[in-house]
Parts: sequence; structure tokens; C-alpha cells
Amino acid sequence: MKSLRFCSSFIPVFLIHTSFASAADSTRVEESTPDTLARSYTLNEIVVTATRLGIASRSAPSGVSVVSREAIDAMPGTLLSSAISWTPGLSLRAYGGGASVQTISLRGMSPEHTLLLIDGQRYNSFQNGLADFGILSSSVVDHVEIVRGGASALYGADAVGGVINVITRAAGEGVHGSASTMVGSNHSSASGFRLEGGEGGLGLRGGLRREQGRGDYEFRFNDGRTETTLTREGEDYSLLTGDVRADWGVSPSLRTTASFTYADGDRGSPGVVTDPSSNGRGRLWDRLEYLRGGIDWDAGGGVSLSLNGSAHYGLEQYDDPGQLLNGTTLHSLYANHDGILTPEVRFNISPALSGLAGVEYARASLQSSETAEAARIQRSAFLSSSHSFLLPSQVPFEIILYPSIRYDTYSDVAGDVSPRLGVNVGLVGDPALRLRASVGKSFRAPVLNDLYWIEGGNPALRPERAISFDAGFRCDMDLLGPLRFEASYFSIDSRDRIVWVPASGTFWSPKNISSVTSRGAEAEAVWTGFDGVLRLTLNATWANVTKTSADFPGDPTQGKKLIYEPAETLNGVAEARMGSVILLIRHSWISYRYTTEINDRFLPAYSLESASARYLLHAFPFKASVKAEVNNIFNTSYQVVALYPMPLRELRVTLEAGL
Amino acid sequence: MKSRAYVCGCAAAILSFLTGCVKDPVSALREVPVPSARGVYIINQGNFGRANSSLSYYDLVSFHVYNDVFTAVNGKNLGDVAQGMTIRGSSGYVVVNNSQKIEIIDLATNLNTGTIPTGAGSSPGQMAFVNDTLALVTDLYSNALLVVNVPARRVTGSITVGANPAGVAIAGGKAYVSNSGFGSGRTVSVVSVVSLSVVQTVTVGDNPGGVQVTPSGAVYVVCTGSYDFTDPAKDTPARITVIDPSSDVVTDSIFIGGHATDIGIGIDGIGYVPSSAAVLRVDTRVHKVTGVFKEGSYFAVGVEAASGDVYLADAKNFIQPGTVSVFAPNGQLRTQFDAGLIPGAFAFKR
Repeated sequence: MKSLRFCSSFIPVFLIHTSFASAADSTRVEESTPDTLARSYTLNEIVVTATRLGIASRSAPSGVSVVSREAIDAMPGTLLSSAISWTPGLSLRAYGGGASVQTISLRGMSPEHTLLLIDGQRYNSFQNGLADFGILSSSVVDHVEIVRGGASALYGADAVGGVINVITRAAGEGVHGSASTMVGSNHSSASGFRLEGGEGGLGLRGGLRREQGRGDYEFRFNDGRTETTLTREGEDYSLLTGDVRADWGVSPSLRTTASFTYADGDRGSPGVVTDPSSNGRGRLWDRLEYLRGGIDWDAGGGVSLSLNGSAHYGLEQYDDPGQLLNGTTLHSLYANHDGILTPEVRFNISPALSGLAGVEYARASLQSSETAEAARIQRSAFLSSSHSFLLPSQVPFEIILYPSIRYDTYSDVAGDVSPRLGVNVGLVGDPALRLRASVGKSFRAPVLNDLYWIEGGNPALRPERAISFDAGFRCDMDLLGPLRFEASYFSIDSRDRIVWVPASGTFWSPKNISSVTSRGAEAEAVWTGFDGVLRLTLNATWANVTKTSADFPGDPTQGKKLIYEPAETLNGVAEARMGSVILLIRHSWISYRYTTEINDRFLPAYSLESASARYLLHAFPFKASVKAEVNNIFNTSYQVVALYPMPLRELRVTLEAGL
Repeated sequence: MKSRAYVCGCAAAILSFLTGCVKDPVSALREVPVPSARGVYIINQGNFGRANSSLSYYDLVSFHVYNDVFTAVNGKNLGDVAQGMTIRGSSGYVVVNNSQKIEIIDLATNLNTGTIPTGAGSSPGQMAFVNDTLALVTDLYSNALLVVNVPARRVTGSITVGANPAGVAIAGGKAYVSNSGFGSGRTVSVVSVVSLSVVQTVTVGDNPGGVQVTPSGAVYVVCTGSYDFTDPAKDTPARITVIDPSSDVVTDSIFIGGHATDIGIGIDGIGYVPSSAAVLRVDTRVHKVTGVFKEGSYFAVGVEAASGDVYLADAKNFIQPGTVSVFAPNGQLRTQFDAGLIPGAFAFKR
């Protein structure tokens, strides 16, 4: 009963959501040089966030993936998670199909150790440290930058496993409009429209999208003797997202942007399937209002100033009519408010030296029946720079150093200093070889739930701390077409991990007791051939994530693997672009994952295949596209999280037409 | 030729990506118990939402411990959060809370002989038999007792009781149901097993949990005491409320202190109550605490009738196998062994 009460209380702690917007062409990053990018930073330019400065991914001091708009459009699925889950080092936990709760983590760390940014601004909930990817649509995403490895020196708390920065689309020139509709398996459908226009430096865009489904997908249930095909019930969903964005180039040196996103989600949450009759009646309801704005001013002389801010309101509710507590049904409500302000100054002292300095002020509050009224003020300062050197020798070297440091203070928990040093060494030649390494401190601050949960919150918690290291290389060559190969070794040693343990009475309380080490490697090869018609991507991640501490003498979980962390993940994507037709086939293989801390139970390995075909029709001024996709082609029966069955084969067709 | 070799090499590399090098672990073979006449089942709750409940069996003939016997014999997991097991005749009835079912096993073989589904959305907790045909099961979140037709293996109805029923026991032709109110309850519903309706509501202590009937026929209701999470100093202490089933009148209230959820009672009338920091000995013949049996915090208690041995379960940190300690009535430790995750109840096969 103890565990039952605890976990029932935590079901609703997850939820937050949104959909957002965006612009640009990620290939430009690959084609730009570090210097040109560093010198020409503007609000709309695509940057890799590894240093908070604009750099090409090849010059980054740690592993970086950039998923372009074109890749997102070609991928099966409508969620942001579908678009990025194939990248190296990334682990997705899905609590079912449809719009079920999903979390993402990097390099063997937990989801709350992965920082999600929207246009460079923190998005993780102050309440629980998580972002629910189950209702994050990819429809307005321009591109996604995934920076692996600790990055608290740049972005503060939670950037332990890495950072995912979602860049939303800006409006283009001219007037455009489009409408789309989608139908798919399990009674899923979606419809939406977008309008945008731009002239004379002013761009406006907006859109509305509704997606729903019954979530009544088929899955296979195995009771140990026989396997039967069942239909999931109670996992219906309805998502409404709307967004508007304005970009205004007041002058060549002054640009502003403002955006507002609204999202509303109503989702069934039937819980675990332990028996053919399992059928919970829980529901999640989310509402999000997210306002973001920024001003960027090129002051001349290599100095630019920017001010970015966001205001975020999230209302999350969990109801279960099947659970009566004190005569009333279970009802949990969380109202989160937070605001973040980040002024920065960037300087390009010379082609070889650039940097930035900034401060960040954030205020968050939480009202909930499950927690004491909670508020937090965060004040931070950061400094980051890049120094490049060309060493004269027979084989010239380019060395780029990336020192950065950040100091975070909080009103209710201890702060921390997070330094980091990265280096990228370029060997000029063919094949182009670059070596990279970084080492730094990262941390995760206790979230408001940890501190203020009525039934056991612990106000004496300290931040979790971690030391990250990675080293790797990238090689660009030509083998019947451009071939990029890169590999990294990484390690993250974290301590003072916050773990909920039994406290007095029948309730649990969080304590700083655990240490975890994640060590592993990532490798990726991307080959483009036949004049860009065919693009093949293969990547692999190996991770050994182990609990190293003994929480008490004889702790049998010491030395065991963390739950849900696969030891090996393989992804392969083949994409063919033949005129107006785009074909994509994707294969993923995930090794077994333990589901208990003592490692006596596990979920078996599984492989998933999906494919899509997209046909583009341009008849000026009209354009249209049709996209057909199939997920789980071979009807694999699998679970990502134990007892949450995933759908068998799903089909989806999307039509889009516009001017 | 060179490009063909290159293409072949690439193809081989791609094919190697279909499956990785890391293979699934090989599950350890579980030991199948040899049936014996006497033994103790330990019902291990497992972690909520992970369906890793299990049954352990301590053989009182060979003194051998078998863990995970249900899976070993039946080839399937028991389910999610096994709350308790009631023995009736030659069968054991394991209530699996979050799987909404009662699994039936044959005590001679541990074979799964049937399942009683308790219905979608139900939260079955404790089970008590009225006779071989009729059993009553608490349903935590529906404020009801489920009426089970055992031979038919189905729920035939429900009886509305108080808020969040936690425990049930039969005495004097009536079922006594503790209404925990999830911490705020203070009543016991008295249900006629003939009319299957509530005939009386008795006010007891704060947060009533386990219900047991003493050898002399009194109904013991272990009242956990309430929690005040903002100020633990305002918690109310555990008490045992004693009800006379002949009159349904509260005849005594035994101060326990701390928080306690259940009591194990031997045939000699001596009860053992695990409270926050110690296991207290209670003489149910005089309704008094007679001393501390063992220092320490334990999660579950049971008393073996023939020997009077006291079984205490330590759930430890809830993510590792719990430990069962067996004490003689005089407090001497007889043995200690690991069970499954969160050992939460005992059932004795005689």
C-alpha cells in the first residue's frame, strides 16, 4: 500500500506541453566557417548552441546533431520526439501510443537531466524538471540542435546529459498560406492551417492545429503462456495548438521577435496493463500559454546586445474517477508560472576571439494541492568565449578553445559554479579531420516537487552535481560522395543524486544519496551519394550506466545498471530525394533494458521499422504535398516502459495544400 | 572491382546494424518448490506499476526458501501489487491489487487453477471468506466491498461501505470493514453476511487499517493514526479499537503509539503489532500492551499457529528484496531469509 499511495500521487507530476514554431536551413551551418558564423550572428541565423555562440557543428567541442526542417518533414510521425529520437545518445521513454506521455534523455542520464530549450530559452518545468514530449508537435519547428554532454556552464541547471534546443520557424518573405489534414490508424486525425507574410523586414506568421485520436490501438498481451491481441482503451486524446510569431527587422542592426503559443491537451491515461482486463480511467489535462520575445542590436565594433525573455503558464490536471479519496475522486492540479529574462552582450574582438557575457533572472511559482505553495527566484551570470589559433607547421592546425563558466544562485536551494573547457582541433587537409574534447561541471537543482511535496518534501536537499568528459573526432571525406564519420567517448559522473526513499510513516521523501556513472561511446556515419539523391545515416550508442554508491551497507543495487537505460542503440535512416518524391526508411534497434533496480527483470530488445513517402507538387502559385507513412511495419510487439504496450502497425496519410 | 568491394563493405556494415551485439540477459532458472504439508507463503507486493509481485514459500518441513514460486510453476508473472493471500481449503487466493484480480493457486502444487477478475477500475485489497461459496473483498477506491462467488469465479455485486475500505474480517456472522478514508477515516462498517448490507457503523480510532479476530472472538481494529504532513508533531498515535461482535460496541481502546497498520495474533491470544520503531506484544485476552517484542521497524507481521513463531518482514528500501525474520515467542531469532520485493503479508499453510 505504501508504494501504491506514493506512485498514485506521482502520476500527474509529469505533464507540461506545447507546440511551437520556427525558420532556416540547417545545411548552412555545415557550409559556414566558424569565423563567418561567429561574426554574423543574428536572431534568425541557425546556430549550434554548444557555446551559446554561433559555430558550425564541425567546430563544436562535443557531439552535436542538427535535425533540419527537411528531415523533420520526411520522418514518419507528427511529434517532435519522432523527428529526433533516432539521433545518437538519445533515449526515448514512451508510456504508450498516441499522445501518451513521453520523455527524452541523453547519454544515460534521466529525463530531468536533459535540458529542453525553445529558441534558446529554458523550457523544463521548475515543478518537476521534465518536459512532456508526448504533445510537442513538430509542425512549427525549423530545426533542432542536440548538444550532448554536460552544459551547465552555458545553460545552468539540468543540462547534465545535454541540451535539446528547438528552433522555431520565422515568417518568410511574401504571403503564404496552407491548410493540412491527416487521417490515420486508430481513428486519428488532424487538421490545421497556417498563414504567414513578410515584407520590408516585418514578418508575421500564425497557425492553428487540432489533432485527435481514439488511441484504440491493437497490442499483444502475453501472460507467460499465451499471447493474445487486445485493444487499448481509454487512451484517446485531443490536442489543440495555436501560435503566432512576429519578426521585425527595425533596422539592419536592430531586430526583434515575439511569439505566443497556446496549447490545450485532453488525454486519456489508462495506466499500466497487467491483465487483459486492465483499463484505467485516468485523464490528463494540460493548458499552456507561452510568451517569448527578444531584441537583438548590433551596436557596431563587433559588439551586439540582446535581451530575451519568456513567460510561461502551465496548468496540469490529473483526474481519476475510479479512485475515491475521502469520498471524492482523485484530482490533482498544478499551476505553474515562470518568467525568465536573459540580457547578453556578445563581442567579436577579432576573427580569432569572440564571446559573450550575460545574466539570467528567473522567477517560478507553483500552486498545487499536492505541494506547499512554492516560489523560486534564480539569478545567474555566465561568460563564454571562443579563441582560435592557427599553428604554423607543415600540416597546419587550427585550435579552438571554448572556456565558459556560469554561476547560479537560488532563493531556496544552494547554488553552484559550473566551469567548462572545450577544445576543437582542426587538421586542415583531405580528409578533413577534427578532434574535440570537453570537460566540465554540471548540476541539477532540486525541483519544487522535491522540496515542497506535502507528504515528504525535503527542503534540505542539495543540487545534484556531475562532472562530464567527452573526447572524439569527426572526419569528412569523399567516398563516392560526401561521407561524414564521427565518434565520441563520454563519461558523466554524478553524485548527490536525489532519490525518493521511504521516510517516516508510510510516505517517501527525497534524499541526496546516490551516485551514478554513465560511460559510453557514440558513432555516426552519414553518406550522401548520387548527387544528393540518396542519404544514408547510421549511428550507434553504447552506454554503461551504473549506480556506483551504496545507499546503506550491503545495498544490492550498488553496481547495478539503471533502469530503462539500454546498453546499445542502433539507428539507420535511408532517405532518397528523387525530384518531387521523397522516400524514407528508418530502422531502430534498442537493446534490453532493466526494469528493476536490482536488475532481476528486464524488457527484451526490440527493433522497429517505419517508412514514409512524400510527393511534392508545385504549380505556381500553388503547392501541395501528400505524405503516406507506416510505423512499426513488421508489427513488433514491444514496450518502452514496462506494462505500457506500444501500438502495432499504424498508417497515416497527410495532405497539405497552399499558396 | 574496387567500388564493388566498397559497396559490399557498406552493405555488410548496414546489415550489421539490423541487430546489435548486446544480447538479452539469460533469466535465472527459478527453483520449483517440492510440495510439503506445512509452509509459509510470503506475499511480496513488488513495486507499483512494475508487475513484479511475487510469492515466496518457506517450507516448514525442509526449512528451504523458494522465491518467485508462482512464476516458477506457472510461467507467468503474478501481477502488480499483490496485497494479500487468503487460504481456504486446498486453495490460496492471492489478491493482486493493481491487476484487478484474484489469482487462485492449488496449495499442493502452486499451480494457478483460476482467476477471479475484480473488474476494470477496481482496487481489491483484503479478502475474507464467509463460506466456501461467498467471499468479500475490499475495494479501496470505490468505497465498497466486492461480493465474490468463489465457485463461479466472478464478482456478483458490491456493498457500499465507508471511505476507502482497507481491512475486513468475519466475526459473529458479520463482516467488519475498516474505512481508512485514506488517512482521515474513523469508522468501521458492520456488514451482515446474510443481507449483504451495512447494519451498523462503529466509530473507532483515526485511520483504521488491519482488522483481525482474536481467539476469544473480539474484533481488533488497528487504527494507524492520522498524519499531519505540515507538522508531524500533530500526528495522532496508533491505537487498537476493540469491538465486541455480539453487540458491536467498542469495549476497549489500546494505546500503541507511533503508526501501526496491522496485528498478527497467535492461537494463544498474544498479538504482535509493528509500530513505527518497535513491535509491541499485546495480550488480546486482557486487551493490554505487555511489552516490546522487538525493537525496529517492520512492514508486515504474521504468527504461525502451531509453533507460535512470529514472522516479521522488513521491506528495506522497497527496491531490493525484503527480509523475513522468524522469532520464537520468547524473542529468540530462529532464522532470517530474503524474500521478494516488499514482503507485505503472510499466509500459513497448515
